[in-house]
Amino acid sequence: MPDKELTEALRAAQQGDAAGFATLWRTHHPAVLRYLRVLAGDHAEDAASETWLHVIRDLHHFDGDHDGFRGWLFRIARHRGIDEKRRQSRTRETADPPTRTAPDAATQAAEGAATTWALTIIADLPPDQAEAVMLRVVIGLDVATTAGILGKKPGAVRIATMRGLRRLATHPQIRTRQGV
Amino acid sequence: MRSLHALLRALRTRRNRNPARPIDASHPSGTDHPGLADLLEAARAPATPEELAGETEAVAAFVAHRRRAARSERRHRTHARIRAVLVPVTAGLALLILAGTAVAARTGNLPQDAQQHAHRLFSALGVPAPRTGAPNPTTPGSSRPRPRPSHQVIELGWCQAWGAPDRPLSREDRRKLSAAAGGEDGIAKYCRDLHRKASAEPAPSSASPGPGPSAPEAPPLSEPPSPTTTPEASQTVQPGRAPTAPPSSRPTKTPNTHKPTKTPKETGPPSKSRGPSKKAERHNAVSPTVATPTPGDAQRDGIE
Repeated sequence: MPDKELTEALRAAQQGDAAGFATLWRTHHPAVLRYLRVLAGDHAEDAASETWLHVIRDLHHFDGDHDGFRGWLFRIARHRGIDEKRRQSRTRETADPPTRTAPDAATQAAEGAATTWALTIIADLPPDQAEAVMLRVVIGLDVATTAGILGKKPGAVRIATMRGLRRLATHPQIRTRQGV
Repeated sequence: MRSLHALLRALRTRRNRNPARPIDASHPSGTDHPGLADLLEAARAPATPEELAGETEAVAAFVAHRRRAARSERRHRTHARIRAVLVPVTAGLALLILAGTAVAARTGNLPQDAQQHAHRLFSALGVPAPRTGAPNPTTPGSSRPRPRPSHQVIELGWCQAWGAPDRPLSREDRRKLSAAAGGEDGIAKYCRDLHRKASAEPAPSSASPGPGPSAPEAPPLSEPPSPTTTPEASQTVQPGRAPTAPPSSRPTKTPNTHKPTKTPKETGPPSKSRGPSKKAERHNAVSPTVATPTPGDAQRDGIE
């Protein structure tokens, strides 16, 4: 969807239009959810819900175009994801150990099996590289926005992205696919 | 490994050349690392229905929040409107009351206690002290002509006190009385004359609405009490009347008629004589004319 239409949807949503908000949600929720899968693992769904509630609450305060909205949205998502991860690590002693990283057969059979697999592989990267790869390469934010979200310098983001990609390329599952 | 380096090099150069499109730059389609390309492609795959399942809930949350916000905003706006009306009205009212009180205090129209209070607080701003014993609202603007008749009243009060054996005059009042009469010996005569004049006063002022010249008609009316002192009475009336006659043409005549008739009753009880004495002090201080009738009286006393 072109940026212009999305900016219009953003304006409509800010005026209280539900259809505009639905457009925004449909456009961005999958990316938010995938980013949070990498960041917060099993708690991605909760973190994504929290993210959207935060967006709903503060949408009328937001001032900017659609590109700015994307950066704002992923900044919120990152904070909610980190919150969820912290909560997860706090309750780990009492709760069952999380059964992540190994996608079960049902998930594999589902439509997004390949996506789940890819996200699992990316989540195995060191956190800063995984986030940089997700935001920069998968979601496609520019370096400045990514740096703003991660609280890093653009150079550091470039390096982290580069190292993440290099590491992914050396991943056993990727390597076996090479030349297939 | 070489292919990876090629990919990274390609990434770098493409990004530098076209930084506005980072996705394309970071994901060259014809990469010679199909594994990585597949991975990124899978990660970027279009949204699955599973991922979009929560849309209704999200939109419902959005609508609910908007409704709540609109309600609270409406409430807020109502409050703001009420405040917008109430604040200026209250401020204006308070200002009006304050200004009114200030004006009343400045012109001395407050009740005694309040005026006293205002004077104490704002004497620097020129708020006058309350006029003791002048709560009579029927005499507006009569502050100037009043001193003369009331001055007689005071002296009448002194005379009453002087004559009464059980209630002696205070030393201060006694001194003033003797000063007015021109000596201790003259007091009796002075008081007698004063009494006669007081009883004579109401008749001429009520009978003559005209200007000063009508004053000489007063003596005939004052004759009945003591016919022998007629010439003196006319004399004594003259100095007292001369000042009072000009004001008699003004509307402030009524207090003149009231005051003398009232005083004989008032001076009877000892407690009331304190008011006039206080007034006398003030009048002495205010108007030097107090002394003007006395020389005539003193001379007359001496002659007699």
